[in-house]
Order: sequence, then C-alpha cells, then structure tokens
Amino acid sequence: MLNRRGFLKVGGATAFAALFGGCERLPKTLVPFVVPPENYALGESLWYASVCRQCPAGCGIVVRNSEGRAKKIEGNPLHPVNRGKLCARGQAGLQALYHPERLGKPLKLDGPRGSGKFREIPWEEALRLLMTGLASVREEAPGSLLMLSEPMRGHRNLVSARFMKAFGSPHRVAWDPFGQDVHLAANEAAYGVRDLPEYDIAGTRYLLSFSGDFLETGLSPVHFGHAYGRMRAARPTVRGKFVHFGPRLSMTAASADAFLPVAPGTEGFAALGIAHVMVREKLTPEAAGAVGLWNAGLKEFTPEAAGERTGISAADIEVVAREFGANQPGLAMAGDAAASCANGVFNLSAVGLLNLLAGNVGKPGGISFPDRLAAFRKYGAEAKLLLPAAESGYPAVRDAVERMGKGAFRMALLSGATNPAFTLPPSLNFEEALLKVPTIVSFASFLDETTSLSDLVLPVPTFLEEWGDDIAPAGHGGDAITLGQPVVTPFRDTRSMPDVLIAAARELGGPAAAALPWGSFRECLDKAYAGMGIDLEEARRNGGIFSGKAGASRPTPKAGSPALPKAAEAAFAGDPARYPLVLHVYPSIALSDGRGANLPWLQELPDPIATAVWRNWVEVGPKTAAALALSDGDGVTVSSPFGSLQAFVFVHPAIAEGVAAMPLGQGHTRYGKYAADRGGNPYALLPASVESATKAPARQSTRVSLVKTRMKGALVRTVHPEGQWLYENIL
Amino acid sequence: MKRRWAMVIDMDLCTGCGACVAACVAENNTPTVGESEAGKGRLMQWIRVVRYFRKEEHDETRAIYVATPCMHCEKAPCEIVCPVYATYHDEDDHVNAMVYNRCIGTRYCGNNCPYSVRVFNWWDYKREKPLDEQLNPDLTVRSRGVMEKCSYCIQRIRRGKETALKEDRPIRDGEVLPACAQTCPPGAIRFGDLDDPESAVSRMMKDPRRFRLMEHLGTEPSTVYLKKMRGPGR
Amino acid sequence: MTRNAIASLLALVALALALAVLFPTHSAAAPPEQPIRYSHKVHVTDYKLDCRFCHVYAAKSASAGIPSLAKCMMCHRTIAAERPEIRKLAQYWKEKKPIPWVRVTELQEYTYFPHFRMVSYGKVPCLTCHPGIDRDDIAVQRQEFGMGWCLTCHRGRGVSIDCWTCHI
Repeated sequence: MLNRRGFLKVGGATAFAALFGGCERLPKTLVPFVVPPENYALGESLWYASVCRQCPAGCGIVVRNSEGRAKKIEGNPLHPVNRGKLCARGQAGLQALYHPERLGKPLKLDGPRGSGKFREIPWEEALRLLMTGLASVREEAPGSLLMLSEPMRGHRNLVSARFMKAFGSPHRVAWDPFGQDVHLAANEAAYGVRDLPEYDIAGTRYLLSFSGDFLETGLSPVHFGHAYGRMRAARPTVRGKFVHFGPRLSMTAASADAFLPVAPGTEGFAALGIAHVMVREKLTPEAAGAVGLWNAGLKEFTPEAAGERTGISAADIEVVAREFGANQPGLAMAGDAAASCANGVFNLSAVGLLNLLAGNVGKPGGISFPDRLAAFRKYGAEAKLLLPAAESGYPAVRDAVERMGKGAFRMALLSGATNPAFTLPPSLNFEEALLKVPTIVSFASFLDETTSLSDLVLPVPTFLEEWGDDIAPAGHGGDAITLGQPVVTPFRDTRSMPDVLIAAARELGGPAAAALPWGSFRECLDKAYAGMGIDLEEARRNGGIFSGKAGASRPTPKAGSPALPKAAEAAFAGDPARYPLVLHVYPSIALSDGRGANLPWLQELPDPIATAVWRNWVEVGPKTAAALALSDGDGVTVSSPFGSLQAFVFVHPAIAEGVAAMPLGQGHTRYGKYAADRGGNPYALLPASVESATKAPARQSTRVSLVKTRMKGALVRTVHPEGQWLYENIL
Repeated sequence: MKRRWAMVIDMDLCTGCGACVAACVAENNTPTVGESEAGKGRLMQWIRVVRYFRKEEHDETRAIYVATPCMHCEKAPCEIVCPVYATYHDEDDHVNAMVYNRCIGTRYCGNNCPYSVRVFNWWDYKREKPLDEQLNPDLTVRSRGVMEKCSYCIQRIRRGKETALKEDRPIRDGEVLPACAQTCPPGAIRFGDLDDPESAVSRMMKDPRRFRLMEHLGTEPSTVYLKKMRGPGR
Repeated sequence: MTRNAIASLLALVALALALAVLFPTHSAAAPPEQPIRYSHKVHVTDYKLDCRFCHVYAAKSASAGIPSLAKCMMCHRTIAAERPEIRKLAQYWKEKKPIPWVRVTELQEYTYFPHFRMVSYGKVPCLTCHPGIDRDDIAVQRQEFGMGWCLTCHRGRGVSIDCWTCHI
C-alpha cells in the first residue's frame, strides 16, 4: 500500500460513485438523484439485452449496467442461438466500447490524401461536407456513388439499400472475406436449396468435419460449441463420435476423436472416397440405392485413389465410412478452408453427398434448411434484406475496384469492420484504386487501414450503444429475431450510420426522403415491429422475439437424387521448386478476420494450439521443419509470389506435411497501438484467385517458401514447447 | 449457512476456446500485461487453458485442454506458508480466500502452489482511460505488490447469497456461477455446492471419470476434472 | 532492559507516533460544510422522521443513499418554503440539479459494507454506527470505524468474522 492519502473525486451527476480500489479514497462528494428511477435499488445493476456484433453469429447478449457503465457481457439465456453462453470475442466487446482510441468526433483530412492525418471537426461541418458531396453527386451522376461495407444486418441493411436505390446508385457492395458463397452454391447443387442450413450436431451420432473449424470461428461458434456439448453429454448412453479431416490439428480438431490430416484442397476427394465405400458396401439404405451415382463415376473414387490425393491411408477411409454408416444419424460438415480453394464447390458438394447418402436431410441429427425469414414475409422482396448477405461479395468488390481505378466513382461511403485495405489481396491494389475516388467518407469507430484512407470520418457508436435488429444466419429455425438496444448512453459524440442516412435522405428530399420516411432509425424499427402485434418493450427486455415455434423446413428437391459432383483439383500459385510449401491460412479464434486485434483482452488470449500471444507465427510439421533445417522458434521470411513477411516458426506436431499454416488477424499497420506492428499480414501473401464456380475468394491457393531469417525478440507462448509438463504428471 | 463450493470441469466437453479466460478477465478486473511482461511468464489471467500434446496410437498427436483455475485445495500448500495469514481457508464457503490488503508480497504462496494458479502484481497496471470504466465495482482492483488468484468469483457468490436472502429462499443449484462456468459454451465447467446432495456437482463427484490434478500430492482440490474420453474404434 | 533495547523501543514509539500523525485513521474532525444547512435534529428529533423515510435504500441495498431532491420537495414544496435554506433547495429543484452533499461518514478502503444486512437482517439500530446524528444540526461522524470495533460487534452477535465477508 503506497500513498494512503487519496484525492478528491467528484461523484457522478445522478448516482453515487462506487467503491474503487487502488489508492483512491471514497469520494468526498455524494450526489443523489433528482428524481429516483422507479423499481431501482441503489447499487444494484440493471441488465439490458441486446445483440453481439463481434462476429457474424449474432448471439443474444445481456449486459450488466452498473450506474451507467457496462461492466460485463453475458449470453442471453433466452436466445436460441447461444442459450446464455458467449465466446471470448463477445466478452471483449466491452473493450471496444471503452477503447481509448475510439473515435469521438468527426475527422477531416488534414494532410495528403490517404495519409490518415486528420483533425477533429464539429458534426455540423462534417454533415455539411457530406451533404454537399451527396447533393452534387446526385445532381450530376447519381450512379457514381459507391457504398462499400460489410454485410449489414436487419433493418440497417434495408435502410442502406433503400437509400442507395432512391439515390439512384446500384453500387452497393458488401465485402466479407469469409462469406459463404461456396456453401450456398454447393447446397444448391447438392440439395436444391441456395441457403445456409442448420446442422443438428446435438442430435447426431457421428460427426464428420472437413476442414471446418466450427468450434472456434465460422458462422456461429458459440451455437456449435453449445451443440457439441450436448452431443457429448446430453444423451445418457450416446457420446457421439467426431472425426475431423483437415490440413492441421486446429482447436476444433483437438476435440475430435480422430484427426486425419489431409492436404489442402483435397477434402472433396476424401469425402468421395468415403462415399465410394458407403455405396460399394451398401452401408445405408440411401447408399444401397445409389446405383446411378456409382455408374456415373463414383466407382473410380476408390479409397486408394482418395488416399493418394489426400495423404491418408485407404484403410482409414474405409474404417471411417463403415463407422459413419453404422452410426446413424450421421452428419457431415465442411468449413471455410475447404470452401476457399479453387475447387471449393467440388469439395463442399462431395461433403454434401455424404449427407444425402446418410439420408439425414430434414431429419434429427442431420441437416435441414429452415426458413429464417418466416416472420418477415410481409415485406415481400425486401424481406431478404433483413438477413445479412451470406456471400462474400468478392466479384462485386473486384468490379468496384476496377471501376474505382477507371474513375467511375465520385464518392465512396465506407463502413463496417471487414477492412478491405487489410483483407483484400494486394494484387487488387485496393488502396490505389480507392484513392482515385475524389471523396471518401467512412462511418467508423476506429481508424483501421481502410478508414485511414478517408477524407472524412464520421464516428459511429459501437454495437453496445445502438438500436438495431438482427436475424442470425445459423442456430435457429426462423423463430428468433434479435433486438438490439443501447446498454449504456452513448458517451462519445457519435451518430449511427442509419441515422445519418435517414437525415441525409430527408435533406436530399425527393425519392430519397420518401424511401426513408422516419425521424430516426429507432423510429423505423419501432414502426416495423409495431405492425407485428408484439409488445416491443417486452421484446426488447427479453432481447428479441423468440416464438419457440420453428418455421417449416424448406423443401430440398434434390435430396432424393444424389448427383456426383464434378471433380476438380485445387490450384496453388507459385512454382513448387521455388515455393515448396502450400500455404494454409485460417482466421484466429481471438482476432477472427483481424477486427479483434485492437482489443488487449483478445491479444492476450493465448491461441489454443500455439498458445502464443500478441503476435502471429507460421506452423510447419516436424518433418517439413527438419527438411528445411528449421527449429521451433526460428525466425523465417515467408514468401509467396505475391508478398512476403517475417514470422517465428512453431513446429506443429499434427499438421499435414508440406503445409505452412498461418493465423489471420495480425499484421496491422494502423488500427491503434494494440493492433499495429505485431507481425506481418498473411492476407498480403495471397493471390486474387477465386473459387472457379462462384468467384469467391480462394485463400488456400498459393505456395510459399520459408527461409531462415534473423528476427528480433521471440514468440511469446504460455506453454513452452520443451518445458511443458507431461500430461501424465498432472493426472 | 455453510457451503462447500466445488467446480467440476468435464474435459470431454472442453474445446479449449478460452471463453472462460476472457469472461474471468472481464469479471475480475484482471489487468493485461503486454507482450514483454507476458514473455516473462507474468500473464495475470486467473484461469488458464493449458494445452498438452499427447502422442497416441496410429502415431497420432492429440491436444488435450486442461482449464486450470484455482483448485481451492482443502489442504492448500499456499495457506500454510503465508507469514501474514493473507490467504486462508474460508470456513463459510470452503474456498481458498485471498485477502489483498493483508498481503505483503513475499510470493511464498505462489511458489508453493503446485498448479501455478497464483499470479503476482509486479506493477501497478495502468488501465488507459476509459477502459477503467469497465472495472467491476464489486471487487478490489489490486495494486502492485499483492498476489491474486481465482476466487470462484466470490463476489458473484456473495451477490447470489444476498439475492436469496432478500427473496427469502435458498440458493438454487446453478444459480450462482463463476464467470467461467456461466459463459462456457459446451458447458464444460460446472459449479455448485457439495453440501447439497442434489446438486449437479455432487452427482458428478461420483462419476468414475473423476480425477484431481496431481492427486498424489494430497492437496484435496475442490476443482475436479472428468477425464476426456476417446470414441471407440478408429 | 539494555540500552539498545530501550533505544529500539523509543525509536519504535517515535515511528508509531509519526505514522499516526501522518496517516490518521478516520476520526471525527470538524463537521464538513454542506451546500445546504440540513439539520438532522429538526427532522429526526423534533419531527420524528424515521431514518429510513429518507435513506430509503438502507434496508434494500449495500449503500444507504442520500435522499433524492424529489423526496425533500415532497414536504418542502410548501413547508417552510420561505426559509433561506429551503429557498436554496427550491433553486436546485427548479434547475433540476442534484445537491452535491459532502460525505460525512467514511469507511476504510477495501471494505464492503452492506447496509441492508445490518438494517433489515441484523436489526442494528442506525444510531449504533451513527451515534448522535439524530441530535446534530450539522451531521458529524463520531464513531471511528476501526476493524476492532466492527469485530467486537460481529463476535458478540455470532456473525461471520471471515476476512472475505468484508474484504473481497
């Protein structure tokens, strides 16, 4: 205990200051209420329900508000997606709210274009600049307005869409590097439904995952984590078996009963090998009836052939197929790493074939396609705007970048956390193209790489300070609409993007004002839900509208007649002689696509496999490392034909040989002191390659070389690779 | 009313996601220390997820996660060595208590703990404004020179007791949960009162999979584990 | 005793005195100046208002609370409205500004003190810890809250003296 003399602290305007620790004394001033709120006992906390926006899952949250401050975020127990649970990124939302580098005032460029040097200006001036720009663009060439954001959710998406349409510009682009284009296309090919399914993990007896890191990242990690817990423990005599195929032992693969390392891009062949055995040995009724499939070419995909392509043994494929057949209901899932290859649709269609042969479509323990928009059918065509766009938007982004380069846009409105300047492949030259747009306006909370290129930055509230609504892309059967509300009074001078658009539309007048006829975004939401005959106040208290009655499943016309997907191989850029290893990149559990990098709690969360903090690394297997004369902890330069970076080596004991893996998320050059300069950006190693059918980004499409380099410092890990305890010793 | 709090961590359900770590940090005013201090092994997280690699049959390597909060040992090696009795076994709740304003920072307790769950405040960790607005008012913010460790979220236990008192009823099983147990998505961390024969943890104590870490040391931890299982066949 | 022992003893005493002077425990100093001359004597002794009428949260919450402006105005909209101190009160009410009272009763740091447990369950009379406040024209803290004082009462009543009861 140091200085016992405290210092004076003036209490808050409407509440007593709480007892703080440290070296501060109790406050000398006590400030009571003017009029006490009803049903409130002093010192008690209030819990407000809202929606988490730290990742696309859209979990329901409840936030503890103690005397006006948000203290803790927990899962909303009423919400069907996460059932009261929440992941690390959700917990860290508090640090985004109270971040010291959060923008509190509009910023105007105060230096060369693209320099990221700004000065603060008042909102009146900022809005005047915005309106002048919008007015002149609309008058002269409305089609030269570009809106580039991340997929927006709920009525926010509707407001933006209406704005752009009424403005007269078709260029509304939503970019999500981890979009589900390939899943949508594969589901359409396999089942006849272009949608994202529900996977009944809790009810299955045999789970096959193909490069799906669904417990850590992906569409809904908390939902799948919770379902996984129920799969293992909720049924008294059934534990389920989980087999994971993938290039590396990920955190998800660590929960599997068997992990079979396969070369990147060969997941489809592994699946076809299993399908072959199922049909050959008539392991399920559907497999027994799939003679057409067999004759169409499945008979060529023997386990031996599959083994050659993937690197796993034919015996393993046969055993897995037999176990899968014998333990129905079985369920097969494929993940982003299988999708983001040049042959992504093939990989995912082949995995989908396994579900068809298991006959689990629309059945418990299997895959189903609920109508998640059932409650909004009255909106007609606009209803689908309430769901976040599931696609990555890559073709539209590339088109926009090309047009930007040709000077087609006079003004760009940027928003969202997907940070195209950081996440797009460098060969697209996004930054250069964007700077050709004469006026760039960003709606943002932080100065990330993309926001820093703007001319005008309008600060928006964080998700904990905003009204909104959301339909989660997974985890419910169309019986859940999440309602978001501010859990604290916004304490920075911020305005939400839909509010700014609504005000801008009003000022622009004409069709824009008619399309957005509300006073505020909150009014828009209130009106939208008032017409549904529900008690909106109660719904907001509960965190949403949960009817408990799942909508009818959508029909799957192709489920009865499985077709053989057209085999295709993955393609990897770079001459194997010069770039001997295949690069596998994956979103990290703490930082996801990179947006979590400015939150200290997430930077200090040890990675589940590498146990590293505050920096990224590159993983290779022991044989590969030995062949390259690399040891664990060495510094290397990782080079692809498109870029290079430096990283420390982590010799991963369970990764396919010939593969180098890197987590995504570090390597920021902007985005604040917690994020910047913590390693290289693996996105910058990637080519602009696409998945052949969907033109979605193909991240697993380059080869790299690793060359030993002298690097300062070391990778900080919580589990020392050599000095860790043996598991046997702690038993 | 005396209680015997215990925690059961089912390793068959734990996926290693670290949500418990983040929830604990948010709940307990844990500072972030930065890369260089982390490099000295000075991370301050009260629960850590330790990853073990094991080589198994078919030459397969598997990873096992052991989420390690304080064991709250009945025979705690940390309690007997504190020269100022800053850590002791709380009799009302049967948890290992840490009294920050008594601690003089000898770090003997941390040295003695076989599970390495105790962490020391080497510095006055500054929280840049306004990150300090998030601090939990129910709990001390520790200054330099004191040891700290998982408390089974004693502040949440206290809140649960107060609520039950005000509503004139007993605490329901599962009502009082530490932050880690509350947030765990697969439900691997369970918490409850062993003195209640109907509680979930009382039932789980009888599970044949149950084991304690380093049981041979005789520390009698209140945090017990259920062994991770393997699926049959390949 | 040896010379050395006496010298050490004197040094220790001097040190203790110095520390006591430099770091006093919370003791009743001169009553602090309040923004409005609220008299407990008038309200509690003369008009027999119960403590909990104004300090409503004492029975429900960890913090006893200072009455809100609305509570004062319940009576003082009309009662004694012409007095200068009441005029000050009315001015605060008109501006909807809360009154910045100066804290009188202080506890040590790192101590959790739940009022409601004492008041509702322990049935400890308010005057036990706030002696003489009912007869004060200007509120003053008379009782020093040393840990020994708290423990004496806790032991006497058989209530928990566990460290973590108060020092979490």
